[in-house]
Amino acid sequence: MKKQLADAAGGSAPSGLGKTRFGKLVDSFGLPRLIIAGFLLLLFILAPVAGADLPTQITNTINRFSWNAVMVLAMVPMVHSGCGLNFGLPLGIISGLLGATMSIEFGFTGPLSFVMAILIATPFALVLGWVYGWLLNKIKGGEMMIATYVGFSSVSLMCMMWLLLPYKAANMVWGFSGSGLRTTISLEGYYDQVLARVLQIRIGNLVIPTGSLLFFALLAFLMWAFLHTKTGTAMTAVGSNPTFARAGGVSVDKMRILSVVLSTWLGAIGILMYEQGFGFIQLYNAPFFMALPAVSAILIGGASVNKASITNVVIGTFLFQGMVTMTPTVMNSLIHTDMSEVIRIIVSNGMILYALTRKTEGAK
Amino acid sequence: MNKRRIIVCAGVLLVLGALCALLAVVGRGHSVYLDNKEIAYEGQTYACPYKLTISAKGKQVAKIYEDERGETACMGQTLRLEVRVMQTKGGAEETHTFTVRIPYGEDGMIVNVNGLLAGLPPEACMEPFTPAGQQPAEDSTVPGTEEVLPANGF
Amino acid sequence: MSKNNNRAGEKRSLGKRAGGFLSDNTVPIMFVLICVVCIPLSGFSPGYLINEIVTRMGRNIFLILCLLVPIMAGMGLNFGMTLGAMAGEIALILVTDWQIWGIPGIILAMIVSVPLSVLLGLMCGKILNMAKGREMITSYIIAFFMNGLYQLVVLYMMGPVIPIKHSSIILPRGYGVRNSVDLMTMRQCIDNLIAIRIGNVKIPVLSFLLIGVLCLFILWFRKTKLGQDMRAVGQDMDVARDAGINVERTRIISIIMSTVLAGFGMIIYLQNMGNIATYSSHTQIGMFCIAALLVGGASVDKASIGNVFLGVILFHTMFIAAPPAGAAITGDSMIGEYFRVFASYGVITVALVMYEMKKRKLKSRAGHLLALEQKMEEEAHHE
Repeated sequence: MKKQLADAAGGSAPSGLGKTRFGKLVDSFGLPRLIIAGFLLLLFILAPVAGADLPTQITNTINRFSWNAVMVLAMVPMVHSGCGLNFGLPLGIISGLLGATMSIEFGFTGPLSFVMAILIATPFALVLGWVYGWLLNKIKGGEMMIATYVGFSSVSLMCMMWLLLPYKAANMVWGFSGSGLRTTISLEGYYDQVLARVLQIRIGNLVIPTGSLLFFALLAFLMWAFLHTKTGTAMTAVGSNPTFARAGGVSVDKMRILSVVLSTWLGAIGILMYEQGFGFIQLYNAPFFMALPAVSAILIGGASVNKASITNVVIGTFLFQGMVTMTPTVMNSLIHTDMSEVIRIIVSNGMILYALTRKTEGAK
Repeated sequence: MNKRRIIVCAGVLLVLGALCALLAVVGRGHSVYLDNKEIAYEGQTYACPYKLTISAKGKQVAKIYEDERGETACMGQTLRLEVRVMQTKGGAEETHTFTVRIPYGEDGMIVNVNGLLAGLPPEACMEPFTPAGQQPAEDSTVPGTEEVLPANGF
Repeated sequence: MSKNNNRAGEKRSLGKRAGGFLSDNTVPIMFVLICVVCIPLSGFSPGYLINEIVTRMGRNIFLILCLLVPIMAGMGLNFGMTLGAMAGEIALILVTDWQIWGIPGIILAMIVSVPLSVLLGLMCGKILNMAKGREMITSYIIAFFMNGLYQLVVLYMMGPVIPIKHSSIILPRGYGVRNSVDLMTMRQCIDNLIAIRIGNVKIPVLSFLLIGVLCLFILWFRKTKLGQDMRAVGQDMDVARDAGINVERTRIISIIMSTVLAGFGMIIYLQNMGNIATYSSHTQIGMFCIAALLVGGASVDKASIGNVFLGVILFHTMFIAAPPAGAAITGDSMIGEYFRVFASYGVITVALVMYEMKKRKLKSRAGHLLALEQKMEEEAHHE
């Protein structure tokens, strides 16, 4: 019974601390997550000591949280339906990029360009998600590896497409040849900071992008509500117990495709959120590795390969982005070395490794 | 553990260690700089000949006129030089061979061939070569750690 | 009745055989078509192409051959060969710093890389044993993770903690290795030792000799007890365990062998290139080697030496011919480069998908057969 509880909580490898209450807490939360949370707490405490301005750091962390949270949210549907971690997030990102570039190409500016970007990206996300979901249904069991490579192949295909598609807008194409999109496109005058500035709260150096956070909260609430509807619970059932779901009359394949479509659409919205915060559209090689930070963020938040909740998304994104923001500044001031890149690589990939090596019940 | 396995493992490690030591000695490379310069020794100065043509292992490695420096590479600690001397312009040429020993620890060695020709002891003609300044800082930026994609050299 | 069946059976089998050949070898055939299109468009002379291919064969085949062992043991495509590549790189950096030149330098680097490769392979094998059923994605992430540790060692510890003498290797700030380490002292030394020139083409005989030795080793290894054990584990882990084979240990040994061979292969690769791109040489090597192997017709659970040779020739022909061909078709030189990256990723995707689909088909067929047997038993029971 105890083992089932521990397994259900997502961390089933017993640590040496065993049967004590603290030991059970560690087991259920997972040792690596505690280490990362502790590390982040240490960084926050050290920040004023290192001379870093704490309100600015907190602002940066909250900013990065708002940019990335939706992409991490995109992981949730596919984990629920048993498709594993969505390493194929680049497909959603590509839909978002198509929406963004086409919205600018058609001449929309200001906040309207953001809305149009979402509207244009949606049909792309639906189609790509549907095809991707159909493919995943054919290869049940090997989803994660194939998702990675489907993502890569499509990004490299789009690398060719960005050069060949007939874009004409002067601020997007290369100057001297007049055809082919640039690698980075500035969003000034379009939707740069469009959500972040809504209801912005300023307290001294601390700036809270309320608009973005509200938008994320809205999407998170919609996801939570959806998961509690009949379709949502059916999707969760498909992931945790497919035979039971099939016996109950639910079409496993249809539910999986639905989850993939949802995930791809959220990925599109996610990259648009990232762009409005970052201020630039990044094409070509940028989407290649964007799935890994989102995957490790949700894992840091407590999710596993077949269990993820909204809480995981919030905690995980905050911890991950906090670490990414705080480590360079604090470390630089303390030991005059910028080890942040290396630490980020080790922590995010180590987290994914940890999740992949857990023994899970009802895995395939 | 099996006693025989321990002995075999130890034996293999010993052989490998010896092989490594042998390779490190045989393969140690040195840059040798050959000078055709005036050299002073024990109060006497020895003028340098007009031209020296130096070969090692049958191939010509340097042709140095007065006050010039040539360079060759040497693997291992012994360098055998064949020097064809032309004392004055258009004069007769004579050939001498010298064997130079380079200490293991030095990367670069300067050899004053003129001194060798004059019959001076080898230690008087050789000195370690220390590079003049720091290597030019072509990459002063910390190497980028972003994931690189299309590999051009593959 | 039976005569009719026979005749129909024969006709079906010929068409079926052709269809079977096409479906088994889709990927190589696709690549042959791509090459056939790209070569004339690229404008390269046959002599140049052949020379390039022979050089690349000598450079890469050793690395690709190291992928065969884990496939034999059922571990799938070993993305963890990157770990061996890293070990080889570190060994080369150390040997270059010690100023050991030429062939002795190469041999010394190979020997030095072995303990490091064994350690990394052991760690990789243990982690893979904890993730049975997900070996490929796990080895993929292990490669990324180890890249972080590699950077920690090479970018921060080399210099202070691991003594490096030469300022030409260390960054101006005093610690960490430069972006590019020059291997002038060892450049092409294996290639040049015994080289034969036929017309325009330079054949690095020693490299091919080494490749030949490795091929013979693999062929011999398949027949040894350990090799047979690995094949049994690759076929079915439970049956092998019942037969008394230590499954975990055999899997770890296969990964260690692959990592050590990858270390040697990387050293051969780098001596041909003539310099080490310290932070990027190893990152793409895993992906491109796996792509080349798959192009040769190998699959996730079956690969032979023939696949390796065919794959290298096809993949590298495409690699060389695509950029100029792309420039000729569209006028943009980047198109060809993006295309070859797309082709590499695409071929891995196609191979993975075909493998998973075949696995599911076999499983469902086995299920059907079992159901049929049970039905027949029941009927026999009733009668």
